[in-house]
Amino acid sequence: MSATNPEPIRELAAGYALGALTKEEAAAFEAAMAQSPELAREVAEYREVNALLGHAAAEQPGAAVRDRLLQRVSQGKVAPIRSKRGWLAPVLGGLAAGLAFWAVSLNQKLGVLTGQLNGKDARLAAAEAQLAKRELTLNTLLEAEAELTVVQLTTSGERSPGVQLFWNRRSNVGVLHAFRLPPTAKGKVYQLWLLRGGKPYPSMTFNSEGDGHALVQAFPLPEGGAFEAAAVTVEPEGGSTTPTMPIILVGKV
Amino acid sequence: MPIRTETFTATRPMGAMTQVRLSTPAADTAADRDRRLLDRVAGGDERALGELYDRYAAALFGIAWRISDERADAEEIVLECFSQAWRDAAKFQAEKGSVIAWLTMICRSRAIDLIRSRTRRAKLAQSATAADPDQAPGMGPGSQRPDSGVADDERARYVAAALDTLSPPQRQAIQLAYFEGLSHSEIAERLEEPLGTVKTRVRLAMQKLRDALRPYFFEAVI
Repeated sequence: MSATNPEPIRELAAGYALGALTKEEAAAFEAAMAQSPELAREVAEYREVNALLGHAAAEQPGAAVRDRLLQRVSQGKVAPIRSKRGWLAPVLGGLAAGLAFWAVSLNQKLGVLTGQLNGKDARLAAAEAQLAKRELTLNTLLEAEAELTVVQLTTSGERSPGVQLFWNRRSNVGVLHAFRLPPTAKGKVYQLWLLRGGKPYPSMTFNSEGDGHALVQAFPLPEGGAFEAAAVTVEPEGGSTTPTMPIILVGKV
Repeated sequence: MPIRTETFTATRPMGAMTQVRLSTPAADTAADRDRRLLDRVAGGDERALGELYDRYAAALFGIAWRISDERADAEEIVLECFSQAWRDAAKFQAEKGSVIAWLTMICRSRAIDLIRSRTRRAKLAQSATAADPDQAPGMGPGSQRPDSGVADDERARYVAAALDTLSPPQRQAIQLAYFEGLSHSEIAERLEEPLGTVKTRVRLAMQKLRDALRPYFFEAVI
């Protein structure tokens, strides 16, 4: 299967900053941006352009707006979001000053409760992050609609390791799932390559967990599409520009 | 924090301002000041919110007014925008851009939400369909608003000069995306042009503006 005019994800950066993309495009772009500091930087630049365009249109609002804002804030009609440290510290300080006798035990109890709360917060945050990642993966796969290509990268042998590459040709973003793939030696990583006309194009590097699994979500693939095959090699940390033999896994598109 | 002293010279023609020099210490210091100000806002300092308002209310109001086309609505949008800044100051991420870029994003988002909820959208569609790209809607000092009081500000002049370098169709596409909050496909529909053409036009226009305006960014993007 060959690519049909995949739109390089980078070309969506300006439209993303302007809010001119469809929901699907925006989701795919955000997925790619999460993996690419370059894209994030480009969007930040376009947002600076947005800010400057606003500056050119500057007009003074009525004086009453400022008064209304400050009145609204001082009356507590708009509650600021405070960090936990921000409100917990004064509370603890007040307890220590006003209830000297109870302070030690209260602080101990509070410390335990805060620890438990923080532990739950951390677990909740981890679960939310995990959920967000899965949603990202799902969005990458679903938004491709008919333009999703699945490449199975294998090697010979029973119960041998494998890699599934899901290629969203619509936004040229990939999702990689590796299984039974042992972690590399120290200082080495796996690297994905896309082949076109027999020439390898470097993609991202990754490593597997102790259980042999790896999931790399929504990473941009080399531009140009029309890939014929994908391969995985072992490379030094940071990746290479040309593959180091041997090829560990390979699959036809 | 050390102040960097650099001088940028615009190398590409920018309308009448072919050579523009801007010393950056003021811009860098302003970005640092903004972040400190927002830190104070995050800490509940109402005076800091007032200072932030004084600094950027005019720019945000200008955007809100042009998008909403109603002064009263624009004032409400600015009020909501700064209220959100008060609520969410602790969430601001400096690595994603300057404080004013963040505020601009909030302001545009609120203004666009407002016009999308109105039936006036149909009226806007009619007026823009009839528009001639050679007479693209004004942005900045080219405004047709009779009581326009555009701030006499260096940045405003640089932006106007940069906008002058866009072709009329590019300028129109940016106008529709930026001030009317239209998506690529809505612009294509409005202008009865292919989607790909519109996407390319918006992208090239934004690239042109970015390249021309980079020396004047509120925050140097690294």
